[in-house]
Amino acid sequence: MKADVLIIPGDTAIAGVCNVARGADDVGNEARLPALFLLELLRTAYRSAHCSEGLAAYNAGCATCSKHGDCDAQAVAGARDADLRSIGLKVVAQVVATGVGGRIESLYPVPDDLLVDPRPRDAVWAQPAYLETVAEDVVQHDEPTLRLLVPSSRNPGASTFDAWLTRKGVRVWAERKPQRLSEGEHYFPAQRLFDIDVRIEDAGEVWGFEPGMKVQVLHLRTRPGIGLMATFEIPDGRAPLPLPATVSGLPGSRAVRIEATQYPQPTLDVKPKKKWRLCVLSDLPSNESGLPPWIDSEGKTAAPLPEGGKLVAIARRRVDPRDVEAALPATVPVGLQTVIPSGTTYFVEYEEPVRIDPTADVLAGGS
Amino acid sequence: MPTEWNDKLAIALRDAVEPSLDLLGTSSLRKTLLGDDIETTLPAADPRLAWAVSSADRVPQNMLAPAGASIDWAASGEVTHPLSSARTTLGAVDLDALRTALAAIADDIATKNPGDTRKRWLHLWRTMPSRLAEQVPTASRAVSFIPADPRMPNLPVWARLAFDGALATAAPAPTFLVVQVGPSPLDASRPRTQAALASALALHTHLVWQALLVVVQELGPDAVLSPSLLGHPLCDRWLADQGILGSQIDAQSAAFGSLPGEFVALVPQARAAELGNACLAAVRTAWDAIAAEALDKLGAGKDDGFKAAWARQTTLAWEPSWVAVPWIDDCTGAGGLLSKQEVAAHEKWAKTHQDASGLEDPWAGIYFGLWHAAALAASQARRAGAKAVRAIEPGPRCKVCGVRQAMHDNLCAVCGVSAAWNPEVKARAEAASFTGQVACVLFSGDQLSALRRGGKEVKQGATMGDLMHTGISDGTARLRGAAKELTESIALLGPSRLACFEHAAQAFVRLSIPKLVADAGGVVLEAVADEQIVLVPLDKVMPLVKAVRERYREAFVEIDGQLVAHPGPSATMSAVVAVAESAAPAGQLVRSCRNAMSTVARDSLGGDAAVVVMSRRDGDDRALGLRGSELDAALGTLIAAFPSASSWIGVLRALRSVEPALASAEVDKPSPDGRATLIRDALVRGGIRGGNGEAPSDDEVARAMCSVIDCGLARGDGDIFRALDGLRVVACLAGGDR
Repeated sequence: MKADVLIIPGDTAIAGVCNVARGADDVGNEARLPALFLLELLRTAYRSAHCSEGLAAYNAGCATCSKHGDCDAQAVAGARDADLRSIGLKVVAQVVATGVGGRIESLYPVPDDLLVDPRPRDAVWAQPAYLETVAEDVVQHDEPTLRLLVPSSRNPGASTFDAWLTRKGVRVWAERKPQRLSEGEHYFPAQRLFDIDVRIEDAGEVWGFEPGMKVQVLHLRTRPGIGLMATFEIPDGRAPLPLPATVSGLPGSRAVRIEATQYPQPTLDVKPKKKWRLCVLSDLPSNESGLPPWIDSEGKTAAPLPEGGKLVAIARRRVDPRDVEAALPATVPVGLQTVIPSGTTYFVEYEEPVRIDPTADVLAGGS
Repeated sequence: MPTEWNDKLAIALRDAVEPSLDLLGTSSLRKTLLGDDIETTLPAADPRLAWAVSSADRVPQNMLAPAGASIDWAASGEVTHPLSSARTTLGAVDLDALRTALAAIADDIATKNPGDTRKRWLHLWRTMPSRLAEQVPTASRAVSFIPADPRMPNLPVWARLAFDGALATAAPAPTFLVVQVGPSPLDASRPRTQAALASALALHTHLVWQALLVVVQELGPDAVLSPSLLGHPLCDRWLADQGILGSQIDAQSAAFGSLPGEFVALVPQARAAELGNACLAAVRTAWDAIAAEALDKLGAGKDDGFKAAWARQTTLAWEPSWVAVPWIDDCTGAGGLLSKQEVAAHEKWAKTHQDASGLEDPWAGIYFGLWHAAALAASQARRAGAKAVRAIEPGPRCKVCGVRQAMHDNLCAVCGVSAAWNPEVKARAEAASFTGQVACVLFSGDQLSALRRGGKEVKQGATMGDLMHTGISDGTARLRGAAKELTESIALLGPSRLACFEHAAQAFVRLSIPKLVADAGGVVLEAVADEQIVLVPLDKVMPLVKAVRERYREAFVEIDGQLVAHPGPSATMSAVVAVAESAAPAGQLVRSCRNAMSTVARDSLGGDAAVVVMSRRDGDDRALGLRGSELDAALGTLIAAFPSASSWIGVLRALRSVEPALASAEVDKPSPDGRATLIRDALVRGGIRGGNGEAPSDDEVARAMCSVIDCGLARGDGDIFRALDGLRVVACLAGGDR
C-alpha cells in the first residue's frame, strides 16, 4: 500500500548525528535532506502507532516481546537494530514541499546535469548538460563503457548548484533549453527552505551512547510554509498508518504532524524518445555495482524502466566532503550503506523510442 | 630491442635547420652520446619534429630567416621573457668555452655509461646544464637560458631538447595522457592539525608520484609536460637511484616536493590506455601496501568486523582516473569538449600563422594548444562522473575526516594510515610547529589557465614580436597583413609556451617560495603551481605577502647564483591570510583561505588582491579585501603608524564613538575629507598619535583608515556597526585584537 504524506515538524527535527566535520563555519548551505531521514521519521511514527508495548519495551528488543513475530510494528518498522534496507516500510520518495496558492507543490532536488553559470544571485543562467558524442578516437578514459558528459555551453565556470526546482524549473530541465531561472519561480535556494543547525548535545540523552558523551547533532528546521513530503509503502495486509497523526517520542522529545496528501506529479512531456535522462529524487540504496535497482551491473535497464536501454553516462556532482552524512547509530546497520545521492542523473539510450513516465522517485526527462 | 632512448637522443641532437642556430653545437654531441651505429626506429619524416620553428607559439621561419645570420646572440646574451614583454641581457657569452666544456662532459657521460643510451639521455636532460655551468663559471648565468633559436631567445635549448625527447617516444601519434589522483587532503572536511595535514599531503604526493613513476620509467621524466619534473625533489631522488645524480639529495628540499593531484604527459596513442591503467594500478598497489602494513600493526586481535570495515574504507579512499586525448592535425572533434569560441580562436590563429608563413597548409601540430585544452576539459568531465554512490557509516566518526567511522584512536582507517604513514614528515611538521600566533597564507596566481593558454585573454602578455631578439623585432614595424597581426598578438599555447610556463611556475614554487618563507620563519605546507600554502608567524605575514607577490611578478630572478625566469610582470597573484582569534588547527585556516580566495579575492575583487580573514570563536569571521595597489598604501601605512597591539587598542577605542558616522558616505559630501577629519579629531581626542618621526603623517593615516573602512564596509553589507571591522582586522595583524 502506497501513501503520500506531508510531514510538518513542530520544532526542529533531529536528522541524526552530524558529520562531526561539519563545523559551524558552513552550516546552512546543505540543500539535500540527510539520507534516511524521513524513513526514520515514518518508522518512528508507525512504531508509535502500532507498538502497544511502549518505547522502553521496543528499545529492549522485539525478541523478548510477547507479540514477537506477530506484530505489525515489528513487521513494518522492524526491530530497533534492524537493517533499514530489510524492514517492510519503504520510503519511495522524499521531497520538500511548499504551499503555492493554496495547493501543495513539491520541490525537486536539482538534477546533477543542470549546470549554472558562476556567481548566482537572484537568478541563474542554467544550461542543461547533455551527452556529447565524443568519439572514442578523440577521448579514451578509464571507464570505457560510459561516455563523458560535457556542459552544452562549455563554460568552464559552470557548476551544479544547491537548490530545489519548482514545477516550472523541472519543465525547463526537461526541455533542455539554456534559460534564465528566477529564484522563487523556477527554484528555491536551500536557505529559503530549511536551516540546518549543528548542536553539541549529550549523546546519552538522544542516542543512547554513554551518558556524558558529547556528539554533534544535526537539527533541521523548516522555514514557514515549508513541509516535508514523502511517499511510502507498507506491505499489503499490514495496518495502515493512521492519519492525520501527531507523532511524539522522536529523538530529543520532538514531535511532528503527519497529514495525508496528494503527491503532485510535475507536468512533463512524455513523448516516446530514444534518449532519456533519469534523475534520482531521493537518496536511493544502490546495488552492489553502485547503480540503482533499475539498471543492472551490465548497464542495461530493468523494470520498471522499459527493457532494451543502455546506460551511457552518469552525471553527478562531486561528493563534497562537507556533505551532511547523518547517521542514526541506533538504526543504521553495522554494515555499509551505500546510497546514490539525490540529484544523480543517469543517461539511458534505447534503440527505438520508448516512453518513460516520471515516478515519485525518478524524474525522467528527454534528451 | 627497445629503442626509445636512442630515438630521444637522435631527435634531440639532430642537425639544426641552419648551423648558425645551433649555439652549443648540440648536434655534434650526437656522435658522442649516440654513435653512428646505434639502432633507432624513427619515422621517415615526422612533421611534428619541426615544432621549434613551426609551432603556434614560434615566429614562422620566413620572417626570421632574413635577419638570422646577422644576430650575434653571444655578443650580448639577450633573452626574452616567455610570458611578458620583459627582456634581459646576460652579457657576452663565450660560446667556444661552452662548446668545449660540453664536449668534455658528453665524453665523460658516454665513457661512464657505455652502451646505455637511457642513462645518457637522463644525464643530458638533468645534469648537463648544471655541469656546464660549473665548468664554465664565466657563463654560468647564461647556461640555462642559451636559446634554442637565437632569433627568438625565449625558449632555452634545454627545454627544446626535453620536448624533442617527449615527442620521440610519443611518435607517431602523440597523445595527452591526463592522470588525476584525488581527492586532495586539502578538501578534507574536518580541520586537521599541522602535523596531520602535512602527513596527509605527503601521502597524497607519494601516491601521485607512484602514478608518475609509471610514465617516468617507461618514457622518461621528459614525457611529463606538467608539472615539469626537472629539479623536482622526488624525481631527483629517483635519478639518484638510477645513478644519474649523486645520492646526497637535500632532505629538506623534499619537504617542498609537493605534487598536484593531476599531471599531463605526452605518450604514444597506442600505449595511452595501457599507461593510464598502469598509473591507476600503481596508485592502488602503493596504497594497498601502505594500508596493509598499517593493518598489521593495528588489526592484531581485532575481529572480522574491524577488518571488513578497514577494507571497505581503504578501498573507497582514493579515486584515481585517467583520460587520453590525441594531438591531432586538425580540430575535428574538439568541439565535443571545448566551446565554439575556443575552437574558433585556435582556427583563426592557425590561419594567421599560415598566412604569415606563406604556406598553403598549416604545420601538422599547430593545434597543440587546442588538444591540450581538450585533454584538460576531458579530465574535468571525467571527474564529474566520479563514483555515484556515497557511503553512510554507523557509529562515531573519525575525528579528522568526519565522514568515515572511527576505527582506532578516533581515526578511520584512511586517516589513521595517513597520520602514521611517514613518521619523518610528521615529526618534521611537529618540530616546525609554532609557539606564538600563526597565520596561514594561501598564494595563488590569477588566471593561471589563461596565462598558460595565451591569446587575447592575457593582459599585457608577451606578443610574438616581444619574443624576438631585438635585432629582428626592431624591423617588425615595417610588416603588414598577417605578419604584422602575428607579431602584435600573444601566441596561443604551443610546446614552447607550455615548457616556458612550466619552468617559470616551477622555479617560483621550488626556489623562491621555500626561501622567502624560510626567511620569514615559516613553513611550506603545499607548493604546487596553482597554489602555495604556508604557515608563518603573525608578525612576519604582511612582509612575506608583499615579498612573494613582488617576486612572482619579477621576470628574471637570481637565486643562489642561479638565474631563473618567474611568471613575470604580466601575471598577477592573489594572497589570502587567515588568522584565528584563538588557537585553531592548520586545516581550519587553510579552509578559510580557500573560501576567501574564491569568494573575496577572485569573485569580489577580480584577482590581484590581498585578503585578510580573521576567524572568530563565534563564527562571525571578519574579512578585509584589498586590491594589490592598496596593500602598501593602506595596510602598510597603518601598520607602520601603529605597529603594536597596545596602540591599536587605543585607536579602536578612540574611533568607537564615531563608528556610525564613518560608515556613512553622507559625511564626505560637504567636504571630501569629512571622514578623514572625523578620524583625525577622534584620534586627537583619544590622545593617539602615530609612532615616531618616521611614521606616516596624521593625514596619511586618516586617509588609509578611510580606505580600509570602505573595504570593510563592502564586505559587511554597509552595516554601520561594522564600520571598524576592517580596522579590527588590521589590528589583528598587529596582534591588537587580543
